[in-house]
Amino acid sequence: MTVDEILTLFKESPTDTKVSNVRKVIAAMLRRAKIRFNYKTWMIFDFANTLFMVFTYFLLSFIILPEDIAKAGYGYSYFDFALVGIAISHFITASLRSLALTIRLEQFYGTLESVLSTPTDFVILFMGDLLYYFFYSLIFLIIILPTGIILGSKIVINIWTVLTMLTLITLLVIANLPIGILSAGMVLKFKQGDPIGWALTWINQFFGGTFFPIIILPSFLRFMSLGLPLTYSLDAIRYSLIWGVTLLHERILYDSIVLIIYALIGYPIAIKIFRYIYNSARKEGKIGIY
Amino acid sequence: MSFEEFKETLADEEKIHGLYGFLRKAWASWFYQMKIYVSYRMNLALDIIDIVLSALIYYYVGFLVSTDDLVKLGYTPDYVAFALSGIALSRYLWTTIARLAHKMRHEISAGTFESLAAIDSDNFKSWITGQVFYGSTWSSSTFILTILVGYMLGAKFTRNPFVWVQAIFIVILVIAIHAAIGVMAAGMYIIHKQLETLLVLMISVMEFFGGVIYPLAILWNYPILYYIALLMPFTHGLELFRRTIIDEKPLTDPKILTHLGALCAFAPLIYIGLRVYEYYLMKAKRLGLLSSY
Amino acid sequence: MVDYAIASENLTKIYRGKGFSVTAVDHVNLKIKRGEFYGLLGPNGAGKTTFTKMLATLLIPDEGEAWVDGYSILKEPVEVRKRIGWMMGETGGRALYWRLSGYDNLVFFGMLQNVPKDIAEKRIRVLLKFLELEDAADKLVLEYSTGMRIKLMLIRALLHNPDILILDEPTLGLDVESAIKVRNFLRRLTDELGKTILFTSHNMYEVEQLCDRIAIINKGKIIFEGTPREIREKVEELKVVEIDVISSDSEINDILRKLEAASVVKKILSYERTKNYYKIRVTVEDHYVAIPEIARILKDNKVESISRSLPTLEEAFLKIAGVKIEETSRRIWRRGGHG
Ligand SMILES: Nc1ncnc2c1ncn2[C@@H]1O[C@H](COP(=O)(O)OP(=O)(O)OP(=O)(O)O)[C@@H](O)[C@H]1O
Ligand SMILES: [Mg+2]
Repeated sequence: MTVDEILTLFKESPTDTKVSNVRKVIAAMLRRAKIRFNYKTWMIFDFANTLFMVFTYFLLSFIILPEDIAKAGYGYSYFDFALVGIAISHFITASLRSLALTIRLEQFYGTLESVLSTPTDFVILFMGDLLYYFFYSLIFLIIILPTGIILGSKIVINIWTVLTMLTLITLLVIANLPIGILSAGMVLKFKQGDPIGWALTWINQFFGGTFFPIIILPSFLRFMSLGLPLTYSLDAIRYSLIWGVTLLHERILYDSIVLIIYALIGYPIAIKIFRYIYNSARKEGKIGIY
Repeated sequence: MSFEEFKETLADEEKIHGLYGFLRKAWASWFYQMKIYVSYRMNLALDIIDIVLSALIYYYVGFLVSTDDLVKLGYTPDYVAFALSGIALSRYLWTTIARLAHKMRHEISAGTFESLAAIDSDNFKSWITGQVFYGSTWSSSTFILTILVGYMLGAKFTRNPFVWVQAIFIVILVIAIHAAIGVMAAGMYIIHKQLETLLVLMISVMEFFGGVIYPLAILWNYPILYYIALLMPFTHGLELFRRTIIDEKPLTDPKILTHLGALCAFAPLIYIGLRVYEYYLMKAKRLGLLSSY
Repeated sequence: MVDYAIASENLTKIYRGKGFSVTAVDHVNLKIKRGEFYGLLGPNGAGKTTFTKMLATLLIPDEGEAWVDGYSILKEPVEVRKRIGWMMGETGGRALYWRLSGYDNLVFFGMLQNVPKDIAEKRIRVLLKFLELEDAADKLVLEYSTGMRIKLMLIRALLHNPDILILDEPTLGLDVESAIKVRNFLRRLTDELGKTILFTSHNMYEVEQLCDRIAIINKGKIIFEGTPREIREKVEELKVVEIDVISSDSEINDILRKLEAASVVKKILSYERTKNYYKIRVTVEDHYVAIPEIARILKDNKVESISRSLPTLEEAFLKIAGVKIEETSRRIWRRGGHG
């Protein structure tokens, strides 16, 4: 008699069990990974596109004069310069868009309300997704940098530069995340794909200097660049990988401090605005609608 | 309203056959797709940001490019024109090759594909025509915008309208051939769902080998790659397009003729594509796969 | 308020948008005792979902307050969420990760509901078996039928063994057999484990069979509260006779006039044209008297059948609360499908 079985099981078992937050975050990360694995086509496209981008910039570097690159302090190879930019581009997307994507997808699946009706804070889901995108981006990094080296890039890879790079990437994600939180708030409010995240990715790619050193921008545009945390992250990571220096180098130290300041200012503002939008969505009854 | 009134409305229905009916349905498929696009108002803003910023990126990369090298490789020293012409034409790749299959995936998983099949009277040809035109409308708008932004950034595209007529002829040829690949793929997609992966890969490959932002002649350093590049219609299409709008080469130029010949060699695809598509659609109907995920 | 499993006080929700405002829940006061199986009955758009969503802390009310297990939905939402199992059948099973297997969905939500994997596994196993889903457990949810998804959502709501279940039309979309099974199971949950269940539905007969107490909600207002017995008594007073008659469109007015004039007919409720005859519904004082009389009056017409019929929900409402139900335009604000 299964009903009896269920009833005894429920009668005996405790109602106040606990699951630690770390476990929840890991579960959330794995869930995203499993869902994403259903979209193999897009993963393959993503990988192929990024690899072809490396090849493309490798070929492009043949006709590029490295004078401006050298002037900006990034050595004598345009390929090295672009390679680093491409290698970390996924982290930028991850930090700017993963939260907005979470909200968007949960709304689309209709799971947002199911999740919100549990005692677990939504932040857990955010963190799980962020972690997933972080590892996903890491795989790109691990594939792209060696590919670049095979193609002749002279970037310095040793235990110290790798550690420095990972630290700087973590800083990059942390400093960009407030913008990501804001764009998640916009998705909750406007129920449109993730246009702001998209636009931000483009704007960051342009002003952050993924494909050219920002010193060639006219001063009014360079001013915009200096307002973006990505500019400092890219500068520090490039500088470290190209010259083989670590966090202790003053230029990198300076960049890191700027990033930390961004984070310190960014979080309180972003979280406040997000809270506000979230609560007003709860008032208007628009949380689950997509 | 009574049932009688409803019946009267049915009497108005004229029997629509032939070309007119086909066009009307194709128009509907185009129109409602357009409506969906417009309903996401942000899409438009995004596309514009995408176009302007990517143009700007290559405008600034252009500052770094050695014009001497460009000239040595047989192009004009104007890198901005070079890159933007490539980007403009590559806007057609996604919409012509992969969009149809992708769209079908959506319709199938949303369950609307079966509804379409239930009212279908021409093997989806009007639907596909509408969709291809929609894709071309979108791509052409981004194409035109990219070229306009190019002019604004000082790219030296031709200003001769007659040369543009030739350029448009080339663009249409490129669209027709790539759309044929897309239609063929869409038919095969109904049965072979893995194909979508192949399609998106194909786009990356074509874009890479086409030399969108680097001169194809660099591939001479790696002869195998160069020959692979020549196997793709896009490579020839892009070369033709560039030589036309940047160098104003007439169709009679021997180099242009070679590329044109190569591109036309792919023309039978237009016929083959349709046949393959029909074959697979029939097969799918027999196997009952129209709604499977 | 601590004594009740669920209590609401002037709970009100007004949806506002461009150029419209809908009072979906209008000063609702309900008190549901622990261990009670409570039915909230109402037509489409009555405000059932809105009410349950506020209790599940998914919506912030505009006015009023509610307590779940003594915890305020406004001040202690997390405590509330720990104690409830909420599900909404209306989503048709959308509220799951379609690209995860049924099993993965349950384990994941279990964790969010603070159930460790080993405990969750045991519960999932028996519940899947009970609802005959065990074979589908490892398939992706997108391959499920709507009914299967709804069952999965129900398991999800039960997984953390909550004391209070808030089930918004849980049987919507289930076949008859599964619906009966689920209802019996839910009933046993209150009878044997003392769970409190708030159950919404627009099916009067379902609620009447199942619930200890019933509230009827219409246009956001509670218009009746009582036991199924009280409802049944009211409904049984309502004697409806259904007449199927073959008639042309021109004749029908004549037939209706004849019925109106008859003394045994109290009121013509409705008439509608079906495939080949008209279906007329009337109320009568005593059907034993009325049926032969109506047959006599309509002896010149082609009468297919005359029989006593159960009142429809609408007719019952009219009787119970004296309120006419208008079909509200339903869910115009919900856009799109899945995929
Ligand atoms: N997010 C929303 N925005 C605007 N109006 C809404 C919203 N949600 C519900 N409504 C309106 O509020 C009213 C009550 O809706 P609700 O979904 O609570 O009814 P219900 O009793 O659950 O109906 P059903 O039986 O159809 O599920 C309806 O008029 C509906 O149109
Ligand atoms: Mg409802």
